[in-house]
Amino acid sequence: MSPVLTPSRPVSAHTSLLKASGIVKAFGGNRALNGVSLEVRDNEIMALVGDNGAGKSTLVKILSGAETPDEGTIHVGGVQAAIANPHDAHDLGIATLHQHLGLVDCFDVPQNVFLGRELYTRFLGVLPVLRQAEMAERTKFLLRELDIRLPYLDRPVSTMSGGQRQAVAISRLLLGDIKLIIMDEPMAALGVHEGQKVLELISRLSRRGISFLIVSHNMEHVMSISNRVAVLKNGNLVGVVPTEGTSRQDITSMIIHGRI
Amino acid sequence: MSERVAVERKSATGALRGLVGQGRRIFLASGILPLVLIVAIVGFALAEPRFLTYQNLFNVARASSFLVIVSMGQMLTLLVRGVDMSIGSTEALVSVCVALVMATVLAFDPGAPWLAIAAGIAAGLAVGALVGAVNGIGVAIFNVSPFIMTVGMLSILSGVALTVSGGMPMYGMPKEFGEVFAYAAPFGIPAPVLFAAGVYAIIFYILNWTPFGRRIYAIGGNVVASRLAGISTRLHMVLTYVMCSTIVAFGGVLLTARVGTGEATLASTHVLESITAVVIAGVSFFGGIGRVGNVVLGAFFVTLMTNGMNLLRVSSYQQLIVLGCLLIVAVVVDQLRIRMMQQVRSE
Repeated sequence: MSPVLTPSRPVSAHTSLLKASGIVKAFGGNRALNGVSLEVRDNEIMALVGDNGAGKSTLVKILSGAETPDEGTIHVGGVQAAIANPHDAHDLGIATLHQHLGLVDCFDVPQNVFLGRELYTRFLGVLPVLRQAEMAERTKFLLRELDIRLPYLDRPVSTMSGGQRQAVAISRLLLGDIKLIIMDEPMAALGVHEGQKVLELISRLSRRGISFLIVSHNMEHVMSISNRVAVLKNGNLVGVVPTEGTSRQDITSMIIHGRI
Repeated sequence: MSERVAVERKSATGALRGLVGQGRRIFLASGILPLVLIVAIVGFALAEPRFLTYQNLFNVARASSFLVIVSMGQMLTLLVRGVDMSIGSTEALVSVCVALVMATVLAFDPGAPWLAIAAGIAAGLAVGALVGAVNGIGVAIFNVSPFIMTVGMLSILSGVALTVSGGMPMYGMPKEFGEVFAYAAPFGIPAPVLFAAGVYAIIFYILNWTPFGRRIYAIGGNVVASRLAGISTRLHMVLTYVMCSTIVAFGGVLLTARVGTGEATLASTHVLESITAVVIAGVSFFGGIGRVGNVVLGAFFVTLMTNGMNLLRVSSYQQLIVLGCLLIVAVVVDQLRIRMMQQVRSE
């Protein structure tokens, strides 16, 4: 294995899933990230918090392949990785749930789940033919696996509620072999009840060994779901603290004052 | 107890609600086409007995096949949130090129009409593909709005067609061209109808059974989501415009066979008619929604309207008014329908 520096922890040994070191990103003269190092471990839910302009979105974009860093390295599973675009990230097992979900409204559930990776055979070895029945079947299976219940699969997702759409978007990510899901404000547009359902889904998936890196403004959600909280301020990492044993006030203070 | 009351009340109004729901579902799926088609057929049949004769409907079917073909091309651009205003002039330029190439080849070797025909059709389709590529690159790569891009091309193409032809009909095509591609009727079915059916089969297959077709709908439905899903949206859009214009060019080839000369002013009404046909068939101007089968019916309907008005001796000037109104109503209904689709969610 490559020399990954695992900070000594009193708890059981953690394996590093994703490790970003010294990430720098500037837009023009503006340094959005100032050498940020962050590690997401196997099977944890990490929350990423910070004030507006702290660099959360930029960091998330770099990890998901939407932006490339000016400096710094990223290791995935201990191996240095080059993430130039979302495809690379996906191949490394990192998927991103964007705020606007990335669903095609007029498509039904299987069409959305298989968007861009449609299954097809070649009729007579030449003509591509979509395997519609198989895609529908596999979508059903996937949703059952994830314990996601939707009233119907064969109607446009525009007819579904915010939480149901979120569930479709998440299950879409899990079609591949995904180890880490990055979420940018997943509960922002949802009502209380809907948001709760998505939180439940996240912790359920976490129990199945999927890690999460969640950007959120909602401290209540952060405290209730995360294992650790990473705080950014002005492009610097203020610190990473375990959620258990840290109070909401401590974290708010880190966000505002920039120190632990 | 109160539950049971609610259940009973539900079943009492159930039948009515089912009917309304059914109508609503048809409306959401197909727009107003089923309604206007029925109204038009019944209306014309009552006003003019000749309308429902087999011979007349047969004529309408044959006359509509050209509009059916170009409307299927037009549909593709609407699916990716575009529009092609240049289809009429594309047909005109194709017509001029087909006539020019056929006449030239035939002049070299008068004994080889089929070589001339093959070369002419190939040239026509190539011109179409090229026009589509220019439209598509303008829209997808240079981000020119589809309307502006294709209106610009409309002017350019008809300018080229008029320049090449000198504004005169171009003669000298082999007579076999018209005999086979326009007036032949194997098994009693007119050739243009057969060609339209062939194009329909191809488009139906591409849109409904291939990943490429699925992605055309996806791009029209949400271009950002499509890009995030790894679809090369620009390439797909360019290819969509190429397909559109190639289909339109094929329509132009058939129309040229029918009129027997290369005409730089061919099919000038096709832009308005095809957009009307496509929108009335429930293809949304907002992209991503529409069925090719409905487009065939929509184009048939527009031709039917023209035919019916001719039988009723409505002047061609007034027909323009009716067609324009039809288009506007169709677009208004489209917006209403999209809003209804979104409302279904909140219920």
